[in-house]
Amino acid sequence: MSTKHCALAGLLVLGFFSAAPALATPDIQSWETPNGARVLFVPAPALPMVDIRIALDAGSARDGHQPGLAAMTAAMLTQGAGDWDADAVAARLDAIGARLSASAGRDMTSISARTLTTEPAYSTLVETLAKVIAQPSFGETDLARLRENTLVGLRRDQQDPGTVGKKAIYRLIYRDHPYAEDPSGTREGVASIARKDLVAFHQRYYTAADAVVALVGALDRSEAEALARRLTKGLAPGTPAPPLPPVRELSEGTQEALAFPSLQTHLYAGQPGMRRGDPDYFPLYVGNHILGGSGLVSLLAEEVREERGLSYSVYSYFHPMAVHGPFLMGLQTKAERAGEARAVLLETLERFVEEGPSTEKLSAAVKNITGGFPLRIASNADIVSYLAVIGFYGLPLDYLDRFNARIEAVTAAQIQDAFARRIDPTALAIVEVGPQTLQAHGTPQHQPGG
Amino acid sequence: MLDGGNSARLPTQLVRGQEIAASAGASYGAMTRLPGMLLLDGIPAKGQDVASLEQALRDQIARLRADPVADEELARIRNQLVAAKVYERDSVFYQGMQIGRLESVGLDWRLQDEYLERIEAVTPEQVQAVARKYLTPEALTVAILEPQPLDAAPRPTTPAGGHHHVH
Repeated sequence: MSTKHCALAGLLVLGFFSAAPALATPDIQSWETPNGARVLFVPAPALPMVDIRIALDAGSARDGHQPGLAAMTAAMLTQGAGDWDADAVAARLDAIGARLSASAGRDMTSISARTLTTEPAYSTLVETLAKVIAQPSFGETDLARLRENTLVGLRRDQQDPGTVGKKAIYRLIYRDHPYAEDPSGTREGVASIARKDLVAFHQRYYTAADAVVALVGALDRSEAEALARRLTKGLAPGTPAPPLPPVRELSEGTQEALAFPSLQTHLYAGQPGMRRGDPDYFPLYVGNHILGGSGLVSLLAEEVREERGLSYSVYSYFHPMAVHGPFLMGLQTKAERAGEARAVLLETLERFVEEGPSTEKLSAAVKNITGGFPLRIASNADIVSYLAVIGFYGLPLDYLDRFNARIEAVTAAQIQDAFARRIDPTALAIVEVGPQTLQAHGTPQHQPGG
Repeated sequence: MLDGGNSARLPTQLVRGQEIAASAGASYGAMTRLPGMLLLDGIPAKGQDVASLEQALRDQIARLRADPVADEELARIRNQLVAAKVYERDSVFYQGMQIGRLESVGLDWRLQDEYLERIEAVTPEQVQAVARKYLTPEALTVAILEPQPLDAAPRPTTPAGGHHHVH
């Protein structure tokens, strides 16, 4: 470990490394189950419990012509499996104080569970979870109920300008790419989901070939091996899902105004950003921390909030995904000052892309990120999330060990170079949701669609 | 009883059984300096109105007042709490918050060590007794938020549409 750091020392802004405290990062063990699922395991003997996260390449990017299918499939897992109905599954888990949930993002479906390692809790959870993953019943009655409740949720989303804007900005950035739709789906998509669609989706995408099993808890290696084998035993080996199509860059700026009867205007601006494992990940990550990723002390907060009092909250972030996830900026402001806030937001971005960060800002950002890193891996729950991401996106197993050193190695010149190559302030997608939106800018407005 | 897990009464009876709610929940803050609020909330399922959902939530309260809870329901909740106590220790932040919260509302931080055994000692009769004492019609406030039309006209900040009543 020390030789690795020495090799990197030549790239460092001097001074940080020697000051950095020794960081105990988890020792990740990894192997494959007999049917081909990848396992990442960190022993954590201190508490008699285990956290389990199963990540499947079954996110909403696989929805096809039925937006909401991945999310519905995930939600239906706990509504009945094998001979158990929804009440029986719930009763089995609640009787032992175990937790189990499943949800779909754009890239992956995550099934999370937590249980005591004492009996009868452990065996009950393992038996229930294995069946929920491999033999969900997808009962017609449960599907009908969940479908209606999902539609109620989608209608409620339309009452919230923030959610309306968030969905719109993804559609504007991603157009015909599978990332365009929110994982919660559309009314048409959800309404069209039949039992056979769930069965087909489960059969195609819930496979060992694409499964990552992350385990953190009071198990030894052989117990962890037995657990991973048991959980994935019912999954067909399957074939990996095809790679997602590449994301097309925006060739020019584009904007959408959504009229909404709110007093505040919600503004989103973004474009395709970066993928997981991106060669520019660290310069873009540190650069964004300075630009809009560090709360009240970011450049955007200084300009928009501190200098002009336009907004309580303003931010930017990269959301790295399997293929280029978005770079997003956002704020809310008083409707009549939306134009001014938007101008300041865009000018701040332009200036940052042009000039890069000052050495003071860079030094503060590096200290903040590396100093905060131990807190981000402080619990088993945190670690199991990282394991799922590392496994799912094929990041190196020493990702956590090297994280702080790689942050410290980022220079102002690298940030400026990466932003100049990757962010084009003239080709942003912009969404405004609010009253009389964008009329001042001469943009036609229309009602938010479903 | 109402909202402790997916097999508690609200998800089992209102969301699944009667299918009257798209979601329903109950929560309260156990550690407040002054009397706090026990909050039941829900969103009507499709084809159900707010009045039926409100009645169903009221029925749940009435049932807590009328009938002692079953021993097996209590046993399930005890198991959940025992597990939750272990899970809590995964978060250093939460442990610190617990200690600070007890002290900040004027309680002794050592109380957290007695929490489990005090919970385990709770009887069905005690649950019924506090339901009768605190969950009374006189103490009930009902708030209803109705979706507003999305006609792009900003609404005044004072409530205009919908009806809201206080009992």
